[in-house]
Order: sequence, then structure tokens, then C-alpha cells
Amino acid sequence: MNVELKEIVFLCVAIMTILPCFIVAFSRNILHSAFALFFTFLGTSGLYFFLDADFLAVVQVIIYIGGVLVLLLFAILLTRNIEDIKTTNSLSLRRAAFAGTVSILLFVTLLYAYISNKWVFPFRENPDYPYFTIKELGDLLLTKYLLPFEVVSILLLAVLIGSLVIANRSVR
Amino acid sequence: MDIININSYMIISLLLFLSGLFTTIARRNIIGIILGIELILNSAALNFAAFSKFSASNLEGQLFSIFIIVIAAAEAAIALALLLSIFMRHGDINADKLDRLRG
Amino acid sequence: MRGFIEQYGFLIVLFPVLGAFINGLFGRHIQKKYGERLIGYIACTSVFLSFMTAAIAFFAIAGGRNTAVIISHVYNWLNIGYVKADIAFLFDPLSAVMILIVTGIGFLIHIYSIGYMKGDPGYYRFFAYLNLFIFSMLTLVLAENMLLLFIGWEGVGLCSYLLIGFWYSKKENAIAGNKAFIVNRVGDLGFLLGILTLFWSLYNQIAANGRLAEFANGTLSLLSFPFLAENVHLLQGVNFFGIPEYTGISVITAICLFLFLGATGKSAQIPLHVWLPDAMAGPTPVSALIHAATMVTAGIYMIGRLHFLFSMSSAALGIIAAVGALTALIAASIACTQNDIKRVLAYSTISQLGYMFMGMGVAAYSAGIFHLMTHAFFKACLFLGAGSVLIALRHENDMRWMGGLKRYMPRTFLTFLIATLAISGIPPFSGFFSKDEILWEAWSSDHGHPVLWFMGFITAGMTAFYMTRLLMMTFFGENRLDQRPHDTGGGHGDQHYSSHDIKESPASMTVPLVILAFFAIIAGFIGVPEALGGSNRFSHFLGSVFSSHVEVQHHDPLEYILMAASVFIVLFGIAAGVLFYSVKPGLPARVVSRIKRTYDVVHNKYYVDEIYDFVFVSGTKVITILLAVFDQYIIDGIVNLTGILLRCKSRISGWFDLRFVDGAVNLIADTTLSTGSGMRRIQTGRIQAYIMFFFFVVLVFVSYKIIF
Repeated sequence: MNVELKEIVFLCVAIMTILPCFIVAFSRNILHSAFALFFTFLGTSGLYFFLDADFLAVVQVIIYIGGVLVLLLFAILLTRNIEDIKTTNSLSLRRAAFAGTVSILLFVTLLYAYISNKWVFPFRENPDYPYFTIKELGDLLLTKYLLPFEVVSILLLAVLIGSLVIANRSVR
Repeated sequence: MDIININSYMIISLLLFLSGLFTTIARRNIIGIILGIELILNSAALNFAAFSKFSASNLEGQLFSIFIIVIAAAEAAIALALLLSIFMRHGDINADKLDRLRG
Repeated sequence: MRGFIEQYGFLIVLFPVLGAFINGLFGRHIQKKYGERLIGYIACTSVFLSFMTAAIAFFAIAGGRNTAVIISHVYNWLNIGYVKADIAFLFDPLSAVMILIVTGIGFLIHIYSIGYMKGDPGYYRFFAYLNLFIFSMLTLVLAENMLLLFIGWEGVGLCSYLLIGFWYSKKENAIAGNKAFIVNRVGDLGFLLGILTLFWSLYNQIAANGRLAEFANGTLSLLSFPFLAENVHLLQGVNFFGIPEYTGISVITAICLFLFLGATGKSAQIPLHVWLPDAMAGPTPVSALIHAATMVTAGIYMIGRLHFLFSMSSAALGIIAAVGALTALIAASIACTQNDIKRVLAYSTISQLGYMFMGMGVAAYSAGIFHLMTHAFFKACLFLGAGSVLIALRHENDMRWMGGLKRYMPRTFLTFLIATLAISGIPPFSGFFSKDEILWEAWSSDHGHPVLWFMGFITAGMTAFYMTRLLMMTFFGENRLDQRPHDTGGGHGDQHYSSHDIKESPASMTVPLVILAFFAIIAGFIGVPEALGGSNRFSHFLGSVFSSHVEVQHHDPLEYILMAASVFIVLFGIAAGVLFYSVKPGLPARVVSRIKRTYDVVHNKYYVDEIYDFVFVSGTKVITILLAVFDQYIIDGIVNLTGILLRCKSRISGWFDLRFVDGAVNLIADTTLSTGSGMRRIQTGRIQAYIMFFFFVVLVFVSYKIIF
């Protein structure tokens, strides 16, 4: 068995990504779920590194962990009294059973599809794949994908204003 | 043993997606649902990046991942605002009780 | 002066309407704040200014050498196809005389009214109406075309209605107003028909002659009097709706008779004379101005204005003369039997108007207008004198309770006496000349006939008789005010008023009386006939208007005989009056008992009102009842039968609807409903349930894709 250090690390990162998912799914405490999500996000960031997507990994850490997760924590704290946090993340058993069934069935189905090679993905290793992606991404964003870039920026502006308006109205 | 390949990434993202799906459906708490959605989005972004590296061999997949991240952030912000709004109005964030649209 | 009138002639009409406007809109306020006096001043000033302008117009006309017609255009009023009408005023000798009469007598009566209406709460209303009347009458007289004349015609009718019912809180006054208005409607319908027939036939003739192009530039007006005067000859010999010529009815005759129907309504001739005696319910100045001097003469004026039309139809002229003579005779006979002072004067007015129509009917237009003018003076004087008497007696109208007023009211008596002599036709008072001219023309004119003269002759005697009777009963003898029965609840006036309280009226009332009496004396001298060494200037003055009519030469020994005869019968009438009511007071009763039946008929005005009531009112009622029966049994029967049939049909279709159509509809509805209530379970309203379904379906599709 020729196991490289790189692969051991990859395996660890993958496990670090997947295991907290189950905590997110099953924990009774919403705070635990949120913190488990932290590890998932961090693991995803590591997986991006293995894909040579350095910029994406950094963005993942900054936005998901620094932004989204903090936002979610704020949401938890703003809508709950600290004391009864523990008892508020119950699962609906009927739905949980159904959701589990669907999930497992999907998993089995897709796995079967993969194993039986019904879907074949062409695999190409690109020798020109850039090692540092930031410059290339910037070029793409400001040339070929300028319009989506601008649209997304307008979306962000709208979100900025819209969330303010919605939150403000709720206060009143 | 070469495990850093498209298959591993697909399995990882599948697991992420399924757990996110489960969370989204089974949770009563709206915040729980949002956590599930974030997981689903994350798995999608990961899939784009993986295909970008292993299949398409250019950077456009990564670009879509970036867009997905941006949209996830936007969604989270709006979700927080709506959450506050719902909480102010109902004093609760139990998704089961928000069924005014029931037929 | 001509230029002034051409440019500012409308001022004559404008001043009274301004007065009416001010008093009508702000009168209540003025009366409350500044008192009655100012109201009277405003009204009198407006009429006086109008009178002054009218005098200027008169002198402009009288001084004119060549053509004595001035037309003052104000503005273009209507322009519809070939109907073109201007607000324009026509000044010629005829209208000049009329505006002088209207504004002059109108002004005197305005002054008189200041005293007469003193203390009346509706003071401002009275003067507003009176000014409005002057305006309408002047519009009528000065109108340049038929349409404007018709507006004035209707306007004076309206004012007459308003003023007759002036004291509208008493029911009989309101009824009298309604009666006047409704009877006038009959006449006005005829008048309107006349205008329309005239327009229609003349238009057809002009179109037939191919002259319509003349109207293209919009300066000619089909209904204007100058145009009519030039073009009515086109109507000669035209049939009226294809009625053959030997019946005597041509379109000209039809037009003339329609117009004459209008004239009988306005001027109270048989058969439409019934409204005038009832119109005495209005205030006495109104009776003097509207129902004696001006408005009722509108019919005569209209015939004079359209004399060129009437001259073309000797049939129409004959009917006019006959109606006029008959009216004169009948009204005079009724006047002999009435006891109400104002009613006597009203019948006298009808009778005198009959004279005028007789004059018009024998184509002696200037004689008719001459009598119109003199009559306006002495009849206004008589009415105002009667009003003065009524004021003194607190509105006791019945002559049987008067008497001896000579002593209490010398000025009223004197003026009344002069007017009586004038109306009776004693030379040299004005009535003599005008009446005599009509009588002479009735005998000698081409259209005249000795029978007409004889009727007028008898009427003259009766006029003298009833006027003497009136004078005797009112002013001579002992005062009988205290003898009147006190139990007559419906009587007029103040029951607790006795002969000691009688006094002469104030100066504002006697001064107009004196002025009018003065004119009643001298007005005749402008028309002294050639036979008496005069020059008949009045007739010559109007000659330019009535030029189409050839005057009869006045050098006939017969004229002197007729004149002497009429003077004789007048003196006879006066003597009879004096004998009956002064010398032998018991005589009237004996005569009446001798001819009881005739007297009753005459006293009850020949039962015309009753006949009208029976024929028209009861007739209408009977027809109504017949129609009601017809409605009830036949129309209602048909309707009810239809209803029953429809009900049966709808029963059947209702049953069908209920069982089959509704069943089908309900089936569909129930199916939809049950489906819906089954499906609504899916709509839980919970997001997660939807996500669940979504992914379940995704699973199914993915499985399908993979397996197959």
C-alpha cells in the first residue's frame, strides 16, 4: 500500500467535513449544530486546497465562517433566550423518518448508479491548470463574466437594503 | 492508492447534500432549516470546484463556486432579517406553526 | 340721432332688464337694508331712462325724411341652416309709437305703484316683475324678426302670470294666474304654428324659385320683418297641404288664422277671452299696465306688424273683423251687468280690444293702432283710478257698496270722469276720434261692412252706458260702505272699515292719474280726421309702415252722418246710465226682473266659463274615465293573460331547470368541491412538507432514469 501523506491528510479532512454533518443533522442543541457546521465549513475549505483552488478556500473561510456562520449565531442569539437554548432544536419524528428514508434511498440509488457506471464522467488532467488562481479568476470576472459579476453585486446591494427594510419593519 | 479524485469528492458532496437535505426537512426550528440549506449550498459549491479541477480543466467551475458562496451569504442575510421579522410577529420560530397558507 | 339709435337702440331694452336684475337678485337685501323707497327708485329710474331713449328713437324716426326705418343689430343669435335670427331691434313709426306708449305709461304706472304697493312684503318682487314685463314688452315691440318677437310674446305671458298670481298665498289668485297662463298657451300654440307654417312655406317657395343662394353669405334672415315684407308675395296662391283653392284656405289664410289664434289668446278675444276678467286678481297697477294698456294689445301690434301678410288674405281679415266686432258687443253687454269695479273695466278692455281688432280686420291698421294708443291712456287712467278707489276702500271691489266718493276723493273723481268721457267717445276727448275712425272704416273700407259698423255702433252706446253706471255707482249718491252685509265671509277687503275713514290717495298715485287724464284729453288731436278739418297726422305718420294699404278718402257726407249717429247713441247711453243709477234708483231692478232670463245669461258671462268647463274639463275627464275603463279591462286583460301564460311557461322551465340543469351544475360543483377538499390536504402550508414532496419526486425521477 503506497499511502502518501497527502492522501492521509485528505482523508482526515474529508472525515472532518462529513462527521460534523451528522451532528448538524441530529443534534438537539442548535448551538451544537451551528458549531458543528463550523467544522464542516473548515473541512470544505481544506478540500478546496486539495483542488488547487486557493482563492476559493480562502473565500470559503472568510465568508462562510466569518460571515454566514456568525450571522446564524446572531440569529440564534437574537431569537432565543439563552436559558432555553438547549431544548429548542427538536426533530419532527415523522418527517425525520421520511427524510431519512428519502436520503438513504437517494444515496443508495446514486451509489448504485455510480457503481454500475451508468453515468460516466470524462476525466481529464489539465496540464495548464493554473497553480495560483487569483489572477486568472480576476481576469475572468472582469472580462467574460463581467455581467454576472455586476448582477451579483446589485443583488448584494439589494440584499443589504432589503434585509434592513425587512428587519426594521419587524421592529416596528 | 489515489483517492484524491472526482469520485471521492462526489461522495463527500453527496453526503453533505443528503445530511443537509435531512436537516432541512426534519428540523422544526427555522434556524435549523437554514443550517441545512447552507450545507446543501456548500455541497454544490464543492461539486463545482471538483468538476472544475478534474473534468472541465478550467476555472469557470470555481467561478460558479464563488457565485454560489455570494448567493449563500445573501441568502443568510435575508434569512436573518426574515427570521427576526417572524420572531417579532409570532414570538416563535417554529416552522410548523407558520402554516397560514394551509389549504 | 339715427346713428345713436342704430348703435345704442338696445339700451331701451337693456335698462328695464337691468332694473329687474338688480331688484330681482338683490331686492330682498335692499328692501331690508335701505327700505322700499330705493327699490321703487331703481325700478322707476330704469324705466325712465328707457323712456328717454325711446323718446330719442321716436324723434329720430319722426325727423327722418326718406326712409323711416332704423335697425339696430346687437348680435347674431341663431345660425342654423337657413334659420338665421339676430338679436336686432327694428325702429319704425309703428314700433316708435309703441315704445313710447309702453315706456311712458309704464313709467307712470311705476310711479303709481310706489304708492299703491306701499308696505307689501313682496315690494321688490313686484318691481322686479314689472321691470321684467317692460323688458319683455319692449322686446316684443322692437323685435326685428319673428323669433325674437315670440320670445317677447312668451316673456310678457310669463310676467302676466307672475303678476296675476302676485299674492299667491290666496288660492283664487294662483288659480287665476294658472288660468291666464293655460289659456294663453292655447293661443301661443297657434302663434307658434303660424311662425312655423310661415317659415316652412316661405322656405319652400324660395327654394322652388332657386333663391337659396342668397342666404349663403349669412346676411339675410328668413324670418326678419323687412325680408318678410319683401317676399311674402311669393306665397300668393300657394295651397295649404293640398287643400283645394275653392275652399278659400290658402297657406296665407292658414298662417294668418294661426297667428290670429295667438292674438286672440294674448288680447283676450273670443273664444279665448275668459282669462282676462280673472286676471284682475293681480294688483291694480298690473291690471292697468299689462291687462289694459300694453300686453293685451300685443295681438293688435302683431297684426299691424305683419299687416302685409294679413292684407293678402281677405278671408282672414273678415274673420278678424267679425271676431273683433262680436267680442266688442258681447264683452260690452257683460260689462253692463257686473258689480265688481275691476271686472267691469276688464270687460270694457275686452270690448275695446274688440274694436281694435275690428279696425285691423277692415285693414284700417293705423286706425286700430290709433285706438290702441288712446285706449292705453284712458284705460290706464281708469284702472289707476279704480286702484285709487280700492286703496281708499281697503280693497272693497264691489260697486254696490261704494258711492259718493266724489266728495272724499276729488282728484281721483275728476280724472276718472275725464277718462270715462274719453272711453265713451264724447268729442273732443281722445276716444271719440279713434273710435269714430274705426267705425267709419268699418263702414267704408274695402273689407268693411255696415253690419260691422252697426255692431260697433251698439257697442259704443253700451260702453257709454256701463261707464256711466260705473261712475254713478262709484262716485255719486250716498256712500253705502256701511250697508254692506257683514256675513259675507268670502268678501274682499276689511270688514271693519267704514265711510269715515275714506281719504284721497297720496300724490305718487294722483300725479300719474292727472298726467294720464291729460293725455286722455289731448291724445286724440294728433289724429283728427280730415272730415273735421284735421290732418290726421297720426295716420300719415304710420303711413310709411302701412304703405301697402290704400287709405279711404275722408270726404263723404256719410261720414258726418255716422259721426253724428255715434255721438247721439253715446249721449243716449249716458242718459240711460244717469237715469238708471241716479235719477230712478229702483229702475234697474225692475228692468232686470222683466228680462230675468236674458239678464242671468249675460250676468253669468254667457256661461262661457261653464261651457269650457263642461266641454274641455269635464270632457277630458270623461275621456279619461273611458280610457281608464279601456285600460282596466282590455289592456290590463291582455297584460294579465300574457302574465298568466308566462307564469305557466316559467313554471315548466323552472321545473326543468331545477331537475336537470341544476342537477348537472350541482354534480360538477360537488365533484369539484370534493376533489378540492381532498386536494387541500396537500396544501399544508409548511415549507418542509413541500420540500419533502419535491425530493420525493426527484427520487422517483432519478430512480426511473437509472433503472431504465
